[in-house]
Amino acid sequence: MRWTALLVLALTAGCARLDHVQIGSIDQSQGELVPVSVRLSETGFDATAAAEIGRIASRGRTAENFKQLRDILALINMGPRTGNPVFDDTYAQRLQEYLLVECPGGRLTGIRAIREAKSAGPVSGEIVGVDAYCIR
Amino acid sequence: MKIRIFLPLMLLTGCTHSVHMQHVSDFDHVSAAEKRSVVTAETEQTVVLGFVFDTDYVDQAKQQLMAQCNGRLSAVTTQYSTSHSFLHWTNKIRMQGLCSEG
Repeated sequence: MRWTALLVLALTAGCARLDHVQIGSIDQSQGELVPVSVRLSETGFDATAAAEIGRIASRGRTAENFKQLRDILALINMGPRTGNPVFDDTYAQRLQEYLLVECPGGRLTGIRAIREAKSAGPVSGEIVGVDAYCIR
Repeated sequence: MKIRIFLPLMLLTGCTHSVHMQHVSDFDHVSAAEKRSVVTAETEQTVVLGFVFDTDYVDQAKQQLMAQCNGRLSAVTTQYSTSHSFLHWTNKIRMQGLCSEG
């Protein structure tokens, strides 16, 4: 029964998540608008949730160990979070550089900044992206 | 035995981060004659068990960015993230812009 519930959860847990979206001004008067898009991502892993899954999936002494592990992980990773934690917070820092590669003239309008994720339980792809129009 | 398992875990996982938001402002057109450079500013806020010690770190980042550019700042990317730790965490603001002078 427990394994069936876990299997159903695993099969249905894969989903997309939108955390934040914001759009800037759009200027359609300066020339042809060519869509450009940049996506940067990093693997997110919620160790606390993984330990909780281990606790649910096990019994007795093992379950107790997973519970202790879950509590310790929660203590050493305190703080607000958007999605699953990542091990590198610099993955989104080259956004501006990649946008200029996509649009060398640097004339961008309709900039839409997106924070989203592809999530599968405790593992996810944490994504930062920008869609914009390059004025050519 | 437990400490042998938990200690490496503490060392490995006590360094997770969460990127909450990344925003990009409008890009201004820069003529070829103008000199363009990248300027960056970073500030932090330490929070211990929910107690906050510095509430103007966002303004500080903006001031640092403006202090590095006497011309026009555009394409400003703002990243708001948190680094998680044992019973405390650090909120971070990182701003990066293109400075056009000339």
